[in-house]
Amino acid sequence: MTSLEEKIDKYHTERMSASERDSFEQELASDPSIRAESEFQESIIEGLKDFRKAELKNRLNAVDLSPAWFEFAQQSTLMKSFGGIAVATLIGTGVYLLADRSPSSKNEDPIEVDHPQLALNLNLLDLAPYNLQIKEPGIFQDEVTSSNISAAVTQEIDNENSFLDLSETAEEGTSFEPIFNAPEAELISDEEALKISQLDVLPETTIEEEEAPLEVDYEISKNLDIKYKYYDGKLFLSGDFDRAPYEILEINSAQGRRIYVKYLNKFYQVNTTDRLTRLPEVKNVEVIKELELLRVNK
Amino acid sequence: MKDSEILQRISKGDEQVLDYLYKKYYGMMTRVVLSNSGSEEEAKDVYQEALVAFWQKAAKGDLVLTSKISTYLYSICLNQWRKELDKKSRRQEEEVDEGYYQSYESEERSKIVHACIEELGEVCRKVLTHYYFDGMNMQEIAAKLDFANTDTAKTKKYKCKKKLDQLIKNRYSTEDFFD
Repeated sequence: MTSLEEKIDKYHTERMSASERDSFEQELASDPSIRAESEFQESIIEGLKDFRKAELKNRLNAVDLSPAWFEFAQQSTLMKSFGGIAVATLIGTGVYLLADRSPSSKNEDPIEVDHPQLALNLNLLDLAPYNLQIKEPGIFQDEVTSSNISAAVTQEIDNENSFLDLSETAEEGTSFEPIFNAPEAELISDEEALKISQLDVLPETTIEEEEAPLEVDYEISKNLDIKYKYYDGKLFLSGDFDRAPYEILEINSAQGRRIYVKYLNKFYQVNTTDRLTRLPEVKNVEVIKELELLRVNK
Repeated sequence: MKDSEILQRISKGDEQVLDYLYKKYYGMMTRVVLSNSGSEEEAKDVYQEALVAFWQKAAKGDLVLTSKISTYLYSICLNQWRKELDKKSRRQEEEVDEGYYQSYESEERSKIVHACIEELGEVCRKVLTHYYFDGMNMQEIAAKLDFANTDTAKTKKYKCKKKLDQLIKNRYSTEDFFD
């Protein structure tokens, strides 16, 4: 940077000392060409400032001002108490449902345990579904001693869903030994037994190996073309979004992150670029079908 | 978040703090305008202006706070709205005069500059706006934009500024620009 440019730059960015400033102002007053260049540079600097200001205001316009529910809850003690009770209830219900969940949706009569000592959590291993009934008829009717418990344990296995035949009857007069229905190791390795419902298998493309969350910013423009920039995990959109809301589809897979924008029933693909570029529309019917499917199932 | 932490994060150019402040004080600040015969849109404009002015001062390191950030913002909003009301009442009294044409001309000029800034790459835009608006020095720009060192930032700023000057000069000669 030449000395004059440097001086003008310092002058307009207030990076000059008082004496430097005075001497430069004298130069400005005496030389019209310096004055013209200074005014030209001032316009550019003002333009840059306005640009940045507009950028920051755009950012503020995109801030969601609706209070989040937890912020609302923070505002009053009553809401805090209510929130606490609600959370506790939710956790309780969740734990109950998880603990009580049958291994199979087909299992209408899942597990009956008549003996309190056998009240085991049978859901520890979410393996193949089975029905188990353990009965010990004498235990509550008769006098019970610790050394001699009259127990008859029967187990009924739902043949349709099970891979274990645990039907056994304990001999009369022997001390009661609960039979744990843990599957045997060799049976666990049975591929059929370990088969997971297809519904539980997520498509490969939705493996969420989370990168930094996508940051989306936008501006409303009257231009019908949607333009965008995408770099550093930040997506900036510019277009006439007054007509309908847009949707962002973010697909994280082993191949990396893919981003699509859906607007007015059209899909657009986002590629990495730091230039304001027209958003390319996805034309491939197969890709559109796949995206619709993902969208519906997300 | 404490005020000191907010100022520290702004000095590093952390724009998320701006979102945080905007949301936190939106109700309080816009009320200044709404309760003094302003519209929702005017209230939003005033608050945004105030917050951006606060950001600029804090980013430059020019700000010495003697009160809470909320109090400071509140006083800017109040002053800003007073000025706006003043302008409004004067506008009603005066007719459109020469000032209108001058502001039109300067608006045209800034449109040209704006268009040329748009033509720069993203990195150039960031370097120049961080330098001229946020008042960042080369060390801060290098850190913010992941440049290897201060010299890289300095070179980048020099080249970007040259490019912008050239773009503007190519589109309009300096003479035309100030005609």
